Order: sequence, then C-alpha cells, then structure tokens
Amino acid sequence: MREITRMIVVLTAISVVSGLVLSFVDRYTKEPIEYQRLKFIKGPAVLAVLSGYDNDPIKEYKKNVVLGKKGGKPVVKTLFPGRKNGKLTGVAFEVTGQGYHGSIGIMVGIDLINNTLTGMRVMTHSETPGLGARAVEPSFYEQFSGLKPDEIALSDKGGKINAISGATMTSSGVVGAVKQAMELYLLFKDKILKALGTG
Amino acid sequence: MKVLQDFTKGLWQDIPPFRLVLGLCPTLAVTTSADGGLGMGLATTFVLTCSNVLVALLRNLIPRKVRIACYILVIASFVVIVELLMQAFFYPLYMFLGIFVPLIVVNCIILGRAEAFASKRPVLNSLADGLGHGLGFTMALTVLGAIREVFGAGTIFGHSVFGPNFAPFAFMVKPPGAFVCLGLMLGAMNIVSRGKVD
Amino acid sequence: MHEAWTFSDYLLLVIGAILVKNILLTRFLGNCPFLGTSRRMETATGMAMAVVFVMTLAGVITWLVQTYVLVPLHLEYLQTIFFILVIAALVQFVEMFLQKSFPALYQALGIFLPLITTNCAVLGVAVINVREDFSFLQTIVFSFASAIGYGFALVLFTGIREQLEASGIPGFMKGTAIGLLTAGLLSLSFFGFAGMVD
Repeated sequence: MREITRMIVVLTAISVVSGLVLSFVDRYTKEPIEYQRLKFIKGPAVLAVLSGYDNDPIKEYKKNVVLGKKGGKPVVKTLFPGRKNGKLTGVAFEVTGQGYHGSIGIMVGIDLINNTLTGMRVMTHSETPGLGARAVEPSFYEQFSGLKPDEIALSDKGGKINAISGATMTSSGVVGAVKQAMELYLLFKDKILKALGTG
Repeated sequence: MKVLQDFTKGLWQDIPPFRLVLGLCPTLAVTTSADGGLGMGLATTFVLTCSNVLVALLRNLIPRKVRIACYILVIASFVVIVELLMQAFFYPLYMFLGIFVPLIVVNCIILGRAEAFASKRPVLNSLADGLGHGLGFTMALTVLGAIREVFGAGTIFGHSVFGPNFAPFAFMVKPPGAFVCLGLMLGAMNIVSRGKVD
Repeated sequence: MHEAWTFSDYLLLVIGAILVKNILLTRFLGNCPFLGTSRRMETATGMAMAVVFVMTLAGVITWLVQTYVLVPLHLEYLQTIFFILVIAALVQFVEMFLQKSFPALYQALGIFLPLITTNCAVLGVAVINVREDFSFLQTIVFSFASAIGYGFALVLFTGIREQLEASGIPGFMKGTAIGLLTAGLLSLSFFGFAGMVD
C-alpha cells in the first residue's frame, strides 16, 4: 500500500509542478505568440492590401475594436493602421465571405482619405483548385485596387469586377464580403478614426 | 575526468542518429535545409539536457514501477516549454518544423538517455551526457541538412552557393532523397569507424 | 475544411493516407521501430497489427480529449502532454487487456506493444487530426487508413529486406545503412502515386 501511495504522490507532485511552470510560461508567451501569428500568417496580407504607408501596421494593430451594432449584432474588428509621416492614411481589417465550399477569409485595405479600396487578399479558403481557388491570383485580386464603393460588384451587376470563369459562387462570395467591408467602414468611419487616432 | 568523457562520447562515438540509431523521424523530415536541421537539433538538445538534469535530480525519488510515466511527464513538460518559446520568438522555424516540434517528446534519444543514464548517474554527468548527445545530434542534422540543401536547392542556410544557373537535384530534398542520403552517410561513417578500429 | 464530405472525399483521404502521403515513407513518421522490426516477417506483421489497433484508438481518444477537455478549458498549449499521456495509458491498458483475454496475441506482439508509445507515428497522427481540423468521422478514417498505410509499408519493406539479407552486401553498408537505401527506393516508388490525389 505504501508503494502505491508513493507512486501517486510522486506522479501528482510532478504533474502539479509541471502544470504551474507551464501555465506561467504560457502567460508569459501569450502576447509574443499572438504578435508572431499575426505577423506571419495575416501579416503578409495586411501589408499587401495597404498602400502608401511607412509605419508597421502589424505592430500598431488595435485588437477587437467594437465599432458598433449592425443588424442587432455587435461589430468587432481588429484594425491595422497605415500611416504616412505619422498621419493615418489607411486601415486594413478582415472580413469573411461565403464561398462554394465554405467560408473565405479576406483582408481588405481601405484608403481613408478617398474612401476607396487599396487592396484585397484572400487569406483562407477551401475552394476548388483551378476554379474558386483562383481568387488568390493577381488577375482576380488586382481588380479590386482603387475601386469606389459603388464600383464593388460583379461586372454583370454593374460593377467593375470580372468573375472567375466557372466560379461564380466564389466570385460573388468574395465581392459580397468586400462590399460589406466597405459598408462597415463607411458606417463606422468615425469610430475607426477614433480608435486608431488620426495622428 | 569522467564528466568530460560523458560529454564527448555523444559527439562522435555514440553520435545520434548514426551510432546511436535513434531519433530517425525528425532526422529525415527536417533536414531539407541546414537551418531546419540546426533548429531542430538545438531544440532537441534543450529538452534532452533539461530532462536529463531533472531525471538525475529526482532519480532516488521516482519509484521504479512508474519511472517511464514520470520520465514522459518531465520530457513532455520541457517540450511544451520549447513549443511555446519557439512560437513566441522563432515563429518561422516553428512553421517549418511543424508537427515535429511536439514530436520531440517521442524522440527515442531523450527517453533512451533518461532510462539508460540519467536515472543512474549524478546530475553533472547527466548534464554532460545530455549536452553531448544533443550537440552531436545537432551536428549530424545540420550536416545532413546542409548536404541536402546544397545539392537539392543550391543554397546553404538560405544563401546561394552555385549561382543562378545551378539546376538543383530536387531528389535530395524529397523523401526518397532523405533516406538515401542518410543511408549513404551511415555507410560512410561505418567505413571511417572500421578504419579507426582496425 | 469542406462543409460536408462525400464518399469520394473519404476515399481520397484513405488513398492519400495509404499511398500518396504514406505516413512512414513520405511523412517520415514511425521510422525508429520501422528499421528495427523489419528484419523478419513475423516481427513486422506483429508490429503492423499492434500499430493499427493502437493508432486508430489513440487517434479517436486524443480527438475527444482535444474537443471536450483542452479546447473548452483553454489548455491547448498542453496538447503534447495530454496526448502522450493518453497514448501511454492506452498502450498500458491494451497490454493488460490482451494479456488477460488474448494471451496468444499478447505473446505474438511481445515487446512491440510497449514500444508503440514512443512510435512517433501514433502521436503524429493524433496531432495531424487536430491540425487538419478533422471531424470525428474523418479522424477515425484517417487514423485507421494511416495505420494501414504504415503496416503496408512495413510488411512490404520487410519482404524486400529479407531478400537483401540473403544476397551479398559490402560490410560497411550492412544493417541500417542498406535498410535506409532500400527505404529510399521504396519511398520513390510510392512517389509514383503522387498524381492520384490533389
């Protein structure tokens, strides 16, 4: 009986000490890890959709800013500011679109002075290779640069985006999400400016 | 000095994965580049050394019947520490090594040294043993990684070696190339060892 | 991940796991015991059976732990520890169960059963299930198919090795070295399947 007690005591002691040490390390590394994940996974997209900046939009990100309510639901976005010479010029944030095979993660960049799109990048998706997956190609995403709010639509609906041939669902899913991003931006622009500081 | 001997034997005589044929999985998988080999080697060395030290410290307290479970708990804890630190400060390496970071916990070298050495020897010797085998492993991985990278991609540690006109021998950085390269290296080491002994 | 998988999606997953991205020859998981147990057909088949059993069960149980314990309690960073302890405990229980209920099978498997705890393929598959965001059904299918792929590669390899041992091999290449080269060639032939999926 003593043997079993000893085994249990030793195992428990090691587990407890390990648990304490690890939760400490976890707490200490939580923030650096979050920054690294942002930098390497979303980072490239953020930097690609913003233009005319000389700061580090990722380092200056504002996490989970509550912008307001839309359709009864709160709108919360993590914002990446683009600044030139210290002045706020653009903002990037993520939206989700509905594709053919599931949700599509999209990073949208907006010019705060002209209220136009500076860029769009598809970050995550499960679309069909050769069809919907072509949303990640320059020939598709470059169409979004510089568009005014009412130009964000498929060409057969009066907009300026040509859909990917054979992938209408994916194309309209992406366009819909980007349009929604622009609407959110226009609706909550003053909140965004306040959160990021125009300086 | 015995401690020095314990350290140096891991560097050649007993070098993993060639002489001490353990830890093959990461060896084959992450040596597509010299950086990868070096990174994995150092991470493994950290876990191996720390676990050896802790096991040696606790060797008289751990009951025989649950010793393997205890070793695993200790090793796994250090692996989690490495995982978290790597994500926080070396994210590109973490992305490259992928599932092989948590897999350090089943790297037979670590459990092997804990059972065969650290459970029976003093702390300082175990430290030397862990450090020696770890650094030997690191050297092996880095060299293998460098060879595969140079011939398979024309670069070393990311820097171009042969210039832009080099046609890489892509076989080297694919799975079959890993097996073949390691096998040939092992054969070569056997020749060298036989030469020394005879 | 796809919203709803069709039968052909599952079929592709199975073919992928067994042939294209063979857990052992392409993903490099489970190599240590692989080279050790592939010299005789009996030991190879014994190991293969044990792996199929443990890997499938381990994949399922670790998925349940991840989904119902680690995620709700925000303890994902402890995944490595929990998973390896689950596997070690599972192997322990399987050993005791087989010893009592199927002694013949227990004898046949011999020392390979406890060795499965450190088989990186088992932990590897468990981690892959989580990283690929598989559903419960996808986890079962992938774990089982991967295990079959492992056993398949192992048995195939042993057959080749047994033939090789009978023929003349230079002394410095004997044993593990030639084993690795053979594995490389086998891996190359599996590469031919790469065009089937994706």
